[in-house]
Amino acid sequence: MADGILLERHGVPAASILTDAFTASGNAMARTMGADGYRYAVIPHPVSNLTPDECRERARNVLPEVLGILSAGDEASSADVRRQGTGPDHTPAEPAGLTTDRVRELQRVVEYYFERGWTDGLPVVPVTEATVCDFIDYVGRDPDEVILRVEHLGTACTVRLAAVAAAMAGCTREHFPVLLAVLDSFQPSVDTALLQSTSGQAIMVTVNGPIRRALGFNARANVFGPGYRANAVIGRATRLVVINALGIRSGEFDQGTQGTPGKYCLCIAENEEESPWEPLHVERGFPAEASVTTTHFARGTFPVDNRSGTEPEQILLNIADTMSCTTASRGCTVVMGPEHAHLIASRGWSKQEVKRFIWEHWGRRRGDLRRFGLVHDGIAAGGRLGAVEAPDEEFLRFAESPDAILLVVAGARNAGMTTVVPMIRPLFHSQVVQDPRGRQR
Amino acid sequence: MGSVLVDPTGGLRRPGAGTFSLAPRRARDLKGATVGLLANTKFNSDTLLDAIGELLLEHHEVGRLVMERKPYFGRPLPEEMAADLASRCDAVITAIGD
Repeated sequence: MADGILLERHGVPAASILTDAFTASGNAMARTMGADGYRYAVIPHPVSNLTPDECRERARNVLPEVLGILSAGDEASSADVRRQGTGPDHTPAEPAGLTTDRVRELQRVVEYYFERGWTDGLPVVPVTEATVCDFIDYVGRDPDEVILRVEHLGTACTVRLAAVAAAMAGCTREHFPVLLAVLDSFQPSVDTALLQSTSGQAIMVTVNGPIRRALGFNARANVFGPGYRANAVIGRATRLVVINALGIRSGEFDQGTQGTPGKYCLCIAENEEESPWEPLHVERGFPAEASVTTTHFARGTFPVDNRSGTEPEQILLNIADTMSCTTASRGCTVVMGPEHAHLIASRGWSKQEVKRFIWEHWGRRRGDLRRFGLVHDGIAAGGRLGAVEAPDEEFLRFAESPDAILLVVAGARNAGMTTVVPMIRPLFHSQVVQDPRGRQR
Repeated sequence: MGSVLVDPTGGLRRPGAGTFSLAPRRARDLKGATVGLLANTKFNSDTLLDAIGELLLEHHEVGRLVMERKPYFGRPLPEEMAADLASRCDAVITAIGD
């Protein structure tokens, strides 16, 4: 795209061919180069795994448009495209009455939060009683209701403390019911004491249903962030609850050896619109029109980059192999990119068949674990390494059943990409997001 | 208009400066023209362009093809390569593989 514009500037007519997954990038590039609305030709994505015959087919289909772009007498339509542009600039005005002194005052307040040890290491939004009341009124719940409790530490999170964490993280009150759904479901995981574990797990949230659109949750490009408020503030508020309400801080009760960047924030939405399968919440027994959070621990995010595989088994073996690298996990969420999902589903594979296939190939030979010195390890392969004299060739599955795997479709449909998110134990909690009047959304 | 807060983008989100107009299109077709085919080096971009080149020669009486590959897909074509292509071709087709 940039090359086409550059060549036009050098005086030669140019036609750029893009795939439909990259038109937004192409439009942004044209705008940046002062050529808003520059006309180009579009072919279906992807190209990289096509056979030569399929490439010829694409070439035949796109040629008329390419010839149109390059020919005299067709500029009128180029001009039409130019006029579409990106519309007028809607830059919001600065808040009225803002002065340097008032901003300095706000900066002092932000510093105060750091001094009190109330943050996750990033600045937080200052919260007053008025904000807390507003959030609690919105959900209509008892502020003193306990929603999470750490028995052995004697700490608890009430609706009120959840509201404080939400506001500090940057939530508006409309986000608050989503955080409450996460917390309302999470007690069984708190009871594992893994919030304090050296394994340093993050809390991952997946959002399904209409609330994704209502609140602007991102399910597509850069689904793991950054740039999307709803994902960012829900992920962050969850951690602020752990730090401030449950009192589990890094270096104290949180003994994570290395932790993971996901401990700042790990919240995605499922790309239900571009998934070939039923959404996660429907698979887990909720009606399609419900908004649901699914929450669990997560050790990290590992990419599976496979753009050239053409068979479902190739992609799935690559995914299972990546899952098998981290030997100390018995559960895993597979966040499959839409391109992989469509390739696999187009050959008739159901979600359950995908999960079973991955489960069967997720593991290692006993001999591998021996070589890593994991023979006496109680965590590797779910502690089922067995007797020392057992054969090296035996393949040890890491999980007990396909139910140890969650399959979510998320990300942009622009490349063959999947991310695997392993966890120590497969404990998944799904919960309906209540609407402000207490009914199901 | 005075503002208290500093724009962190340095104005990057504003549309690019200057005017743009298309290079002149001289003919209604590519009969006898020299057509450049610029691949972005990603897998299959060259296969796609080869196929387009074949169709141009077979069905559109294009005079000659000039095949080029970008040095690196992640950056725009170097200015000197753009100038060179522009001087040797009547039209250029660029394609990505992704």
